[in-house]
Amino acid sequence: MSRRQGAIALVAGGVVWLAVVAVGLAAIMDYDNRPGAAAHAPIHWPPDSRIVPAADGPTLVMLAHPRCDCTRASVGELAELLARVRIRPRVIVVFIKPGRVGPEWEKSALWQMAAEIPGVTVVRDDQGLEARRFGVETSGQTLLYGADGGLLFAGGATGARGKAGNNVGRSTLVSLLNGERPATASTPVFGCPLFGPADAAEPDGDHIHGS
Amino acid sequence: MAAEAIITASHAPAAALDPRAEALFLEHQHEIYCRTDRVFGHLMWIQWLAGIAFALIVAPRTWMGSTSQVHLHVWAAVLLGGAISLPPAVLAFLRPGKTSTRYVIASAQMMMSALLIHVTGGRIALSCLRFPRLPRVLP
Repeated sequence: MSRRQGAIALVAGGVVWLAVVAVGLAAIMDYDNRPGAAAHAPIHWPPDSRIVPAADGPTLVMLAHPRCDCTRASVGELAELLARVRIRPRVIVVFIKPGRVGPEWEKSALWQMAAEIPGVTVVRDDQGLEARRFGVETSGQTLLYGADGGLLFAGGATGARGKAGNNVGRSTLVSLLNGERPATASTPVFGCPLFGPADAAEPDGDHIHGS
Repeated sequence: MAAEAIITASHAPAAALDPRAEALFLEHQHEIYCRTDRVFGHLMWIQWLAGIAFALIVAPRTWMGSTSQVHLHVWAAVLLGGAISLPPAVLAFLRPGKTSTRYVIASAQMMMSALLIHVTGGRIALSCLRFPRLPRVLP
């Protein structure tokens, strides 16, 4: 191969290499920025929910999969926003537990992380019945209900999958809890699906358990 | 004697010194380029392994209810990280000191930075490690 041919081969190889890597990075970016299924949250606190809302203030509910690593960022953002608000809501983090897993399956590092946030109540939702009651399908979904039980916010608290840092969801929640009027009442939610094909709900029973 | 030698050398004709000085400089520069390229050649596979480790630590699995599978970030760290790291590592040892090798290494560093940011969940601070060589590589 002549020197010229070698140079052409090197340049061509470099172009192909850059193209392949660019496609790979674009695929990852697409995955990280693809939101999960949005919640079909009831506009008023569901009367059949076993979770007790605050009697005289807002209630914030975060529904999560205990093993979704992306939700670690959401729980971190929850701690951040609680440190910035004037009106402290009643905060419940609900971890779903599918019916086909073993004991203590839900007691993950994420559970512990949420339990360590001051003022946060962590509960286990057997078979995800509460999650279904709230119309939630994606881990990290955050719902804020006002003192009158009306839905104020439904969305995620991160800007992308597993990404901590400033985001519209967190700033919207902070605005609402500081008595301000945010520009939006919903944001995309990024996280693992709470339910798989094998996770059908069974008849309602005593499905909420605290930590 | 040493002072006389220095005075004598400083008064030698400039035209006779410059080509030899330049040749020595270029030779030394080339040695530095080769050595640096080989260092980066080793760094490539080390950071590839580090990216896989980060992916396994930060988000090893993705879940759907009770079922899980290997997280996309792990596959990306293995496959895409390998695709980013292998060509510059090969060039660093087959063609050390070449300008094209330095360009490929610099490009790979930037792309590896992007990959590591995604794999670690947006830790932007990692990106500051990736560009120190760039001003000297690009003329």
